[in-house]
Amino acid sequence: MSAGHEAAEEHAVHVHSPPQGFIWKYVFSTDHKVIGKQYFLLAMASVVIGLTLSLLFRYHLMAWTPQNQFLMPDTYLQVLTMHGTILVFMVLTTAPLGGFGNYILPIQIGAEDMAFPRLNMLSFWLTLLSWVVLMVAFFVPGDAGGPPVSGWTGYAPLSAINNLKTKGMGLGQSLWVGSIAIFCLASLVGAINFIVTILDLRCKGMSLMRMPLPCHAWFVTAILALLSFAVLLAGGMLLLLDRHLGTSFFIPTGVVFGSEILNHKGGSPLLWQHLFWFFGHPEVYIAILPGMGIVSHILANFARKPIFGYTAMVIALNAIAAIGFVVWGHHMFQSGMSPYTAVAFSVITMTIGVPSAIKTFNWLGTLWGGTITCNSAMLYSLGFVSLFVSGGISGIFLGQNAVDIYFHDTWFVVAHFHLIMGVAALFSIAAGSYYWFPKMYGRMMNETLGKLHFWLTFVGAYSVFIPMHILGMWGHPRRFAGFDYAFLQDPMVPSMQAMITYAAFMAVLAQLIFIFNFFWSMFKGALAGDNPWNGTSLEWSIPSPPPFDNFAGKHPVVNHDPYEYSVPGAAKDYIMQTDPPEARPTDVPKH
Amino acid sequence: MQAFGMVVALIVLVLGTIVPFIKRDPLMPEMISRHGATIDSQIYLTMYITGAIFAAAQLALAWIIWKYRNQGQKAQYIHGNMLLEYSSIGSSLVLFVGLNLMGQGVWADMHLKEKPRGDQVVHFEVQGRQFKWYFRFPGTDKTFGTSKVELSVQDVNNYFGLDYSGDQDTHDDIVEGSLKLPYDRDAVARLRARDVIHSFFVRELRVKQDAVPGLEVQVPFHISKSGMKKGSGPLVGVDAAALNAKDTSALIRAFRHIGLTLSDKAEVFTCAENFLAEMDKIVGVGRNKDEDLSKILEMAKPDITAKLAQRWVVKDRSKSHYDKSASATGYPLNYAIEQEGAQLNVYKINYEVICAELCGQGHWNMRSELDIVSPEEYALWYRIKSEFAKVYRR
Repeated sequence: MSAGHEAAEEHAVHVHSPPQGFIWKYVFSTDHKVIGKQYFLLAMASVVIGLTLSLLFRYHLMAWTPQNQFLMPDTYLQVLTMHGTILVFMVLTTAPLGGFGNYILPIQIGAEDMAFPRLNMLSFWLTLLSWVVLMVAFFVPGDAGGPPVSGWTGYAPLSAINNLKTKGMGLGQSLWVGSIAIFCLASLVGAINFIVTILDLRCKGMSLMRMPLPCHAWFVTAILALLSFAVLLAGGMLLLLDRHLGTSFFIPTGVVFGSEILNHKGGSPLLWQHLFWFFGHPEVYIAILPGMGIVSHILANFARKPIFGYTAMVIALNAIAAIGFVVWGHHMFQSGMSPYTAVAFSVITMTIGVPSAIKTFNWLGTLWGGTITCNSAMLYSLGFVSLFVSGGISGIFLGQNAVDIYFHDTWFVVAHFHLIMGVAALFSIAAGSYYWFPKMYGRMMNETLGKLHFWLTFVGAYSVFIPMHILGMWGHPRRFAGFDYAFLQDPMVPSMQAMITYAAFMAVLAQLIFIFNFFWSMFKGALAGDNPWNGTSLEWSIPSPPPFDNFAGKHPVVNHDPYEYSVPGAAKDYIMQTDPPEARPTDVPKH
Repeated sequence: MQAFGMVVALIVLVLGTIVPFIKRDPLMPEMISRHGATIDSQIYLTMYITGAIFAAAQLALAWIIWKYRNQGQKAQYIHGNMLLEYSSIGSSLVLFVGLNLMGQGVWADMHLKEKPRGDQVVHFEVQGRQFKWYFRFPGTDKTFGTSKVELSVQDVNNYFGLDYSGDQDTHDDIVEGSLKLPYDRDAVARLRARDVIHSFFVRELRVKQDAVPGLEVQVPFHISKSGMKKGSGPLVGVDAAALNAKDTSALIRAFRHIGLTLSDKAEVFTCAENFLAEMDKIVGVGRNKDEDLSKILEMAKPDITAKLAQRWVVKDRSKSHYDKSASATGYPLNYAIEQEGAQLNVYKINYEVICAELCGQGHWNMRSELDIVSPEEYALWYRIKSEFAKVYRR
């Protein structure tokens, strides 16, 4: 334990005693570390379900012939809807923020817990309730049974019409909306907790500009979540009212469904899209910004280099988040909204490329001149950088309103958002897992299995999503349960669908290696020690796993910047944030 | 070893991405609209720029991983370089925003400028519904008649709910399940949806626009060509002798060729009688039936001949239904039409209208056809259809 902890003995120290008994220790726990693990395990279970669903529709698309359909068209859409919903909400939102954020953030800023431990617990249990409600949609019986067919975007009026005769438009759709609404509540509670924790509970010396980059990322992500989930919650409530109480927020006058004119008047289908994408676009950054922070942290650690342009990285994170709030309309270029608005959204969208370019440039700058060790965490971080570039590049097509006329709702879009939001974010989660597992469980994950997991996933993911760009260039529309069109009778389509499916099976099955490694290492992995990666931030200054209140009743004091690697003249190639001031040679200029 | 693996993987990634984009010909489907040329050039420009950035960034990453792999060297203590940061900001800002602004012209043409007007402009209404497209033309009076949603519910075959009881403008409105449009003419589509959101997408036109319940969205475009490339495949003209024959089968064929698909000969004859009466008013033909038929066919023949010459490709029966030479020019629908006597297996070249917005379980199968014809043939078809609508209106 470093000297910084003893230096704070004179501070009043509040130590709450650890809970006793299995239930209070592991189930209804208010400890941020347990809650972080709960979020993480929930996300892991959701990954298994979400990716299994993807294998179902991948096999369907590969095996499809007019005579032989593995999934019926409505089942296909139900599987697609649940795949998207589970992965976006239950994985990409929970794991990076609820999982790692909960576990690591308080430790990295020198706090003994989150600001509101009980709210933290409430946040998790609401998330779990939301998950359960969503899963129940799978089991809705009857003609209108099963989960919804309206996609993870749930566009109204398709999602707003409570039709008890059509599969997926009955109770399953309502459960979906209800689940999302509960999830919003959970996220709002969690977001407030994160913001207050970062603003109020930083230890002595931990100025905002001394925080490790993941903390900046979690901070800005929490602000995004606070502002965007509130809007989605409102949208979800209005959708429920339309479905069940006869209001007309999203259903206009004169809509005919089946053989009757619906008794709704004056609603606007575009209103739902505005509300949804006002959340939906920031949601992309809720999924990816923590990943950017985590990957930056790991790159510096395993290149043994300070972050290149730390201040610029912080500004870029905040700029992406800020601009990300005013670009939602680029999802709606072809929706029928005002074409003048589309021009404004398009131009603003393109400016997001600037902070994104800064991030990429600075990641390369961080690696430049380093001593790069390619272990599993680093491989996933390098893979993240590659994927961020690949996925970001295609966004330059889609952000242009004129070009989007052609690409909107084609497989080009599917390829784009899966690379940038899905795969890149999952890579950052994997990188964080390999990196922080030793801290969380006190044992190392198996490196051989980790690398095997990486290579199969890296090759598999690219083999799935690069060919989708080609399909998109050919105008192949997304969300089609079949493709026996003359339109698609390009001889490459079936072979590409087959290739994508094989690659998807490879990439998905590779995750079993991770899951095995995770649980096996929990019990059988080599002991980790306090600081197995020679890291600089506060989590590496305490035992692995950390004690109940993180710093054993002491208050750490931070004396150094977060990424002081390879400082000339220093005794070691890293200076921990809690090392005494004299650990850093005075003749080396600070940034 | 891992560093080497990353280098190889990133190089393979760059080559594996860029080579198919370069080698694949055509990379994008045929383009047949005036604004589509601008969209395509913007797509290709974006592709060149982003392709270069993609390759440069991935290869730079590979190179850095290799050059600075852990060989026991000491890492450099570098915090950043403001000049490089500002250069990165400035260049990306100019590049991305500049690229975007270059594409605004075609958007303005389609959505911001006043819609084309005049006698030559083709106006039509598109109705999306689960899971079909219907199209309405205003007829020879060039005025869309009144439509009421209640009427479409009372009579399921009155797709647009046309009000024939009071509104004279309605009587000549043409309602079709597939779309026929002329090239070399401005067209304006008015998109509507009856139940949920649909999206009108004809990829060769480079037109995609959501049809939203409660809204009318207008999209202008200009079809610049028929879609066939000269000499791209074995083309065949219509059997002139068959067309000249003054018999029922010739009439059926003629009707079919100009878009009036009627399955029953008797119905054709009944229709023809009424039709000829209407034709009197249009082309002034007499009441002699053979002569009338002859004149009608004579009138239609140049258009039909031209149309067939452009749009029918003879295929060898032994070949697969997919033919690459044909794919460059259009997309063969498997309509095998037996030509009388010749027993030729022919394929109709046509374009597909599909739905690009998730609209329910039948979304994937919500499609129609776009048939592009010469302005003259279109005018003839339009007149006949409109007159036909007057006679056979509901």
